[in-house]
Amino acid sequence: MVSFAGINFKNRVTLASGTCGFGREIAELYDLSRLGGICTKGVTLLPRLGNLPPRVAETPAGMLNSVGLQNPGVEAFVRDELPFLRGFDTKIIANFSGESPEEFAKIAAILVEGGVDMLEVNISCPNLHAGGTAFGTDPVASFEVTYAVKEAAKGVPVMVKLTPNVTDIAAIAVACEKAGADALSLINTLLGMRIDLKTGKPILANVTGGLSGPAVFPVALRCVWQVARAVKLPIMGLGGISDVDTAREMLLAGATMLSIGTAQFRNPLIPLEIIDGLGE
Amino acid sequence: MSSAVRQIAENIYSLEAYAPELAKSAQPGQFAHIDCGGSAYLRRPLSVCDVSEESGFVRFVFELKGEGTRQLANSQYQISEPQVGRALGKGFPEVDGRVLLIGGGLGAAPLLFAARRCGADAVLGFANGKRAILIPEFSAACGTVNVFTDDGSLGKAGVVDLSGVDLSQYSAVFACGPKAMLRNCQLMLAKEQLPLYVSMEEHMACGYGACLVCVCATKKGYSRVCKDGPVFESGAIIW
Repeated sequence: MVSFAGINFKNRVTLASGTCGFGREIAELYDLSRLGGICTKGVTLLPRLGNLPPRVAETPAGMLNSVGLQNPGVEAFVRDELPFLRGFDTKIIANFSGESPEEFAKIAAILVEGGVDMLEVNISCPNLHAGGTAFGTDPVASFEVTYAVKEAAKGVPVMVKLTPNVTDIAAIAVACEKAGADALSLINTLLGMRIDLKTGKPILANVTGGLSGPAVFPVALRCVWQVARAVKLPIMGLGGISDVDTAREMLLAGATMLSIGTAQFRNPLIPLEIIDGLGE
Repeated sequence: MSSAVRQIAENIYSLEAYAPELAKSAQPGQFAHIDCGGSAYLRRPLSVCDVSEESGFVRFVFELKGEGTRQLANSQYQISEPQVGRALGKGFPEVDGRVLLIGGGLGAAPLLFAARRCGADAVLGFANGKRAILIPEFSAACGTVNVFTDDGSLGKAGVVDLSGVDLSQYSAVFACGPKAMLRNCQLMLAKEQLPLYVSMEEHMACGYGACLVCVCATKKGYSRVCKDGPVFESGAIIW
């Protein structure tokens, strides 16, 4: 049992948002109750179609994705997906994003009403009110979103997911802590791109995408280390964890909980192997 | 020996891998998501071309394109059953009656597996004779086989054409190949009361429907090629 932000998890391992959908496909492979928790696919207030394909490009030791938050909207998530997930003995951490602090708060209220265990606030998305820069790259905007979500969360723990695409990630972490966050998860993907030599054009239709996989692990580890020394909040570490050894390193850097993402695409059972390997 | 690979055409290879569970469970049109080993990080989706339930071997045909397929094409490299994995995706439907198979290039591969399971005729198109694949196998499995090549070096010259085909004898058409060919099939068959099922292709990451990177545009929005497909009813696709 691991205590994290006031919640007791049966083990330290969760699935990372965006890599496990709403759990249905993973449930065909193993019992979701074996997991500490599931960070569900990011939802928005309204349904989103997502970006044009191609949405994926392979990279050395990883991949780029530009899914673009394709999701059925928060209401459909609560109505159609949450009851299924509630059939398993695991913690449901709902990832979501909005276009303003008010919208974040509105979505948080719907998720809390729906009965999720924890909120994961994705502040890597663009702030439309501030001309499209990501909330998570600005300490003031990060504070405002965290504060608004915390107000709406009615005591449900609020975890803010940090982007590594900043100069000083510790400064953002401190802003989230001051705003009342209960935990932090990091890192989200690193912004990158690839070009197809045959066409001379970017591989991703969206031009840029998020880099994930073992390639980003050293960056994730560095970020967790820096944030762990800047705030008192507990940390869910993620970014390139692909085996028991990298999981242990992440815990040594200062994480209490772990999230496994891209490594599942190579071996969907790797979260269970890491749970067993950590002796949990 | 758990796998064997050999070149069968210009830049095209045939891989037979020991994967008895997959051999037993795979349906035509389904694929395996193969961990190629080496430095390719993501798995590679390859359609099942043929199975032998007796020997437990599954056959795939692939083009040498990059790191992953280079590893697969290495005859010294052995692929294990876990690397091959399970049968994925939604394949071709079971159809009462005869089926017309339309294959373009590597797209012929999954149609051979379909030909094994139903009464079928085939129309196959290739860039040229050096790139033609599986013609003896189709000839053995099908009633008639018509071959087209872009340069006329094998069979008839030109792209796949159905003008000489009596479509009334078929209950359905299964097609797999380049997107332009599939779109052309949709146009050629638009006026026929004949269901057309197409197998789509996209780069994948998870291969089992969780990550949403391999989508194609359908009338229901973006559908997952790996889970909702790869086989779709052609009318559902936004061409």
